[in-house]
Amino acid sequence: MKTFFLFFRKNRASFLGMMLGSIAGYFYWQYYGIYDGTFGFSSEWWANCIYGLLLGGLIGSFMRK
Amino acid sequence: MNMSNGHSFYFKPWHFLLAIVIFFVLTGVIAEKKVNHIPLSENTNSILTEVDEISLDKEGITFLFFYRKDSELCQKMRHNIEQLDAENLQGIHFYAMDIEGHAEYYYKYNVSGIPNLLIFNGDVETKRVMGVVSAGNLEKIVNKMHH
Repeated sequence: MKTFFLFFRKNRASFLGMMLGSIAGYFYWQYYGIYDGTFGFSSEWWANCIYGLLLGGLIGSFMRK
Repeated sequence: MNMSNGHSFYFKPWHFLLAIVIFFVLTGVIAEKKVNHIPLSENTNSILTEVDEISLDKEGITFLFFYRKDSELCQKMRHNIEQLDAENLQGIHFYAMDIEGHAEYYYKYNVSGIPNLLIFNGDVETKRVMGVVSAGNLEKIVNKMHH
């Protein structure tokens, strides 16, 4: 348990980025993504959330101390 | 994950970049298989009305579907459109135009590719659906237009 707590604490910027990114991905899907069927699952809410999660995590990983 | 002596696993940027690339490739491969399973439209009892000219209802909502007869993707998108529940489509006009014989509309509406579904509120274009979108998402789009 302590190990996981330490893991989350050390990567809190990435996790925060992932959380905000997935929320942003959902809103992106609501207003834009749902109309775009040009690529694999680009119009599916979960795909947009996962892209948002990964991009948010990427940004968060740059902000790690 | 080695957590002893203060060592911890950190997410690094390349982890996420690799995950993005893998996810991109995976979804591309799976989506292609999924699209292959969409049947082609049979063009019977279709909610889409074939038109040769476009005359928009200034007060209604119009869905204008640009396609090409010999395009499988267009036939698959047409199939998805035809899955829409007709009862939810009150007040919405659904038109289809084969772009082969009507290139002038292709340029007039700046259609960059097909299949393409233009959504008009009156005579003003509000949204544009490009590519093949699932029937479920089309239902959500229709419900959005109603509200």
